[in-house]
Amino acid sequence: MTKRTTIVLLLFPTISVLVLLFLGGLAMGLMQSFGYMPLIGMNDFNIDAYGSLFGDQEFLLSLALTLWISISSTLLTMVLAIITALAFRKTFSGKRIANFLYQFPITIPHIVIAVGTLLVFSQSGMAARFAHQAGLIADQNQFPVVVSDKLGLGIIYVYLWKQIPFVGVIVLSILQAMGNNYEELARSLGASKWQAFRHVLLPTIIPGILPASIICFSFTFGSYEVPFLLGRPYPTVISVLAMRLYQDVDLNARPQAMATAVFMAAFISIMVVLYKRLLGKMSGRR
Amino acid sequence: MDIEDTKASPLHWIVYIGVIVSVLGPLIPQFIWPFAKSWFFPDLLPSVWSVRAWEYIANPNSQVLEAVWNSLVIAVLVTCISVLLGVPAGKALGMYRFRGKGLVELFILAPSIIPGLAVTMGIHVVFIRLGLSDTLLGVVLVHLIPTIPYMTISMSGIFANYDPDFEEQARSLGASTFKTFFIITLPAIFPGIVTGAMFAFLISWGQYLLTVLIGGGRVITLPLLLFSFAASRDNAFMSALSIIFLLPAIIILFFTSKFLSGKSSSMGGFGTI
Amino acid sequence: MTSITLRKLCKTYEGSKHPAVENFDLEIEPGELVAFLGPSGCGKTTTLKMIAGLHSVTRGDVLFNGVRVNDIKPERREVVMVYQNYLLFPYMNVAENVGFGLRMRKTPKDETDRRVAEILKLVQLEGYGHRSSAQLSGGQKQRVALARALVIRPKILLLDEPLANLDAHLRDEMRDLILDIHKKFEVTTVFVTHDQEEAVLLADRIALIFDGKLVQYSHSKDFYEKPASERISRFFGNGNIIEGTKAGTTVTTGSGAFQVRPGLPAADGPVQLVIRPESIRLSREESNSFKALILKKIYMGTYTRYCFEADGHIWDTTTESNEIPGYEAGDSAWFTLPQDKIWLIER
Ligand SMILES: Nc1ncnc2c1ncn2[C@@H]1O[C@H](COP(=O)(O)OP(=O)(O)O)[C@@H](O)[C@H]1O
Ligand SMILES: [Mg+2]
Repeated sequence: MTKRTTIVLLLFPTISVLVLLFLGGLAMGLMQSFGYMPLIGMNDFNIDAYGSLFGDQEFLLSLALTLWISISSTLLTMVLAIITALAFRKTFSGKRIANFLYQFPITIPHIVIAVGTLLVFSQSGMAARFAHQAGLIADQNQFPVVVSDKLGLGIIYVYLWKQIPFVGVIVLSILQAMGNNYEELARSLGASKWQAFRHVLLPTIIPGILPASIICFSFTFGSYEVPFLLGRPYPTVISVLAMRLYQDVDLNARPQAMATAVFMAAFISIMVVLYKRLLGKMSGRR
Repeated sequence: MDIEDTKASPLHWIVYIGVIVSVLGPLIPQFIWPFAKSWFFPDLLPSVWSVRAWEYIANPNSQVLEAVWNSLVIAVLVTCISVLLGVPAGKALGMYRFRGKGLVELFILAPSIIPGLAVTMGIHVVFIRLGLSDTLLGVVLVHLIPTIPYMTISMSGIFANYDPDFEEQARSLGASTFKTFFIITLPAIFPGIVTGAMFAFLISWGQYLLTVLIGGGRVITLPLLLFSFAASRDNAFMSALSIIFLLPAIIILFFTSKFLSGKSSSMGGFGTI
Repeated sequence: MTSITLRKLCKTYEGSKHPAVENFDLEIEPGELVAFLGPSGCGKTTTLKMIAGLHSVTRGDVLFNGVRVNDIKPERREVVMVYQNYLLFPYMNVAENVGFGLRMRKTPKDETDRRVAEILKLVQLEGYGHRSSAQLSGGQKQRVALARALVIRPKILLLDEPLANLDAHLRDEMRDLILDIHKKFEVTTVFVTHDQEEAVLLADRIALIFDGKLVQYSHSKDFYEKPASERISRFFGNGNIIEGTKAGTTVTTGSGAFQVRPGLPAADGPVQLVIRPESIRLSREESNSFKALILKKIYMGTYTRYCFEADGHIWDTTTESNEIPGYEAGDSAWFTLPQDKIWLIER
């Protein structure tokens, strides 16, 4: 067996399944977004769905909310992952347990933590009860609205809960691989603690976590469950909007649902390409 | 002052306590609510306790047992298929250099970046036509879209760190291809396969959107039930289900925490769980 | 110029039972070039890092020009450490690497550029500023690391195994560069090595460290001629050590009685007689001569080495190859231990 056949044989099953399911699904979605659905007797081919999409104020509001949530949660994830990883580099009593807890969220499903957020942060939740016991609020309505709120704070909290450990573990491994020497060297060359962090640690960490930040961004951009449970019905995030259009009994909403979904896929793809460019530029300087 | 000083300062302790509180905070009430009958604001503990949530779960009419069973069957099937497909593909990507490799990697990575919603909505029509919608098999198939890429990428990381010289050494000492695989290759990659498989299982286990789209509400899985209880804000039932839903994740974390060294290759898919 | 004083300096790392550095007492003159010599793991790097302020001091003091600096932050000590594996910042080019310390001091850009260019010229890397550090050879990396340290005009330069990772031919070049720099910048310099020849070639004085303890601190010649212990003698490549008993200027050993020069510090009683292989003469003289069987002859180019046995003791000698008679293994020959070359260690 030549090397070439070996490689083809090894890859063939995976590639063919992904071509059928993934590419097939995308292609079908694209076709339906153009109103072409022969299976249910719609044979037109037009871009009406896209037209009405960008003319629809709810869509634009959804897009804005989605971008706000995914950008802010991705950025916050990066910042907090770095801070917590730096702290977890130190030794302290109970470190093993704390370390376990730190990595714990990686395996926990999103819905579980969305449920937990409802129980803690809704106006009758545990946080409000503690606030009442502490005499901070007299009535549950005085507790700030952080679930189903305008800014999607509850949603962002869930994403942070899930993603900080995911990125933090990567930061920890980067720090471990790097050791203390570069930091020491910088100090010896006259850098203050902050300068050593800013000019030595950060430039090493950032390129290492950019791929993870792509995953965080694209996940939060397309996620459905968390914003459905913890968001407002209007405006909602783009995936919830797409799903609502899709489940509309009126089949004429179908192309618009598909157009929304295709838009999401295209948008993410473009973002990833831009990101890769940025990555290339950064590693080009090495 | 010095960098080698590895002791934590009070500032560090604030971070540790912050991490512990925010990680555990949202989980603790979930373990109390299933035993609460009435628990009103501003009580910190229920005023009337009860196990009705558990009775409901154990009741065969409640669909919970059916949902657990479905979730398990789907996740196990999905995991097996992902391992069977992902291990060879991971070997190709991890151990060989070939033309177009970058493109293949990009293609395999794409499903974990592009929202599953877009793909699954598109595929639904075809599944309806093929009679796959509203069936367990159909659900298994769409779950493969996120799990196969995850398995492939994490296995390619495992194979990239695997030294093929061991195999050659074994062959030169007289072991057959077959024997070499079982004596040399498999033991070396086995921990990687197990970790990958556990996470593939979790990806499938936690899947809501793909299941609801293709299963059409006929294939009831645990996340579907949990989701509907959560949407209707029935705290006791939702918490009880949440605990059951959580169990495999905790078990798997205990098994894998030592593998979680943060090698980014095997971390690639965690964001999609 | 700055002097360094270490006073009862101790370091025990967190979680370790044994001290890495124990009770160092050391004085380094302003502008001196001193080597820390010792086997791997003996605490050389640890001592450098304490001088640089990068690692905390467990006990004892570090003084510069007589002023205690224990609590001064590393970035304020004007001490630069050059690491064994260069540690060039991978995401910076050569010029950015060299200019790092100046940027940290917020030096104006044009001055930074000028000084970087100047120093690159000095280390013979003119025009390399835009190279990425990955494109450099080991020797070039070492020179960039050196330039990066020197550009900020430190008062003290600490070099951790500066020659260890270089090929043999580059080592000579780098050694000369270090000597040049030391002279030119008049900077008090400490360098670390585990190779005694390197230490001898470079340093004014050598601090020999075994197992975290400073065992001898003196001029390099003394280590050859006046080793303080058997271990030191062996570390400097001398295995001619024989037990004997001293009485006055006579030492009686299994191979006979030998005359030693008066005034050796060892007291009468049990001693070890030490003599370097190159000091033993292949000849018969009035005193201190004895006849022995040559066991082995090893031709080493310029030198020839003979191993010979007398009364169950194996001796080692080297002579220049073109020197007198060509003995062979199995021959008997006369050997002389010159009186003024014998050193005694008290047992
Ligand atoms: N950061 C550290 N933490 C704990 N032990 C260390 C650390 N650095 C060095 N050591 C230990 O201290 C001893 C001396 O190390 P080092 O100073 O690096 O030796 P050298 O540079 O002479 O080879 C060794 O036993 C080493 O294992
Ligand atoms: Mg060292």
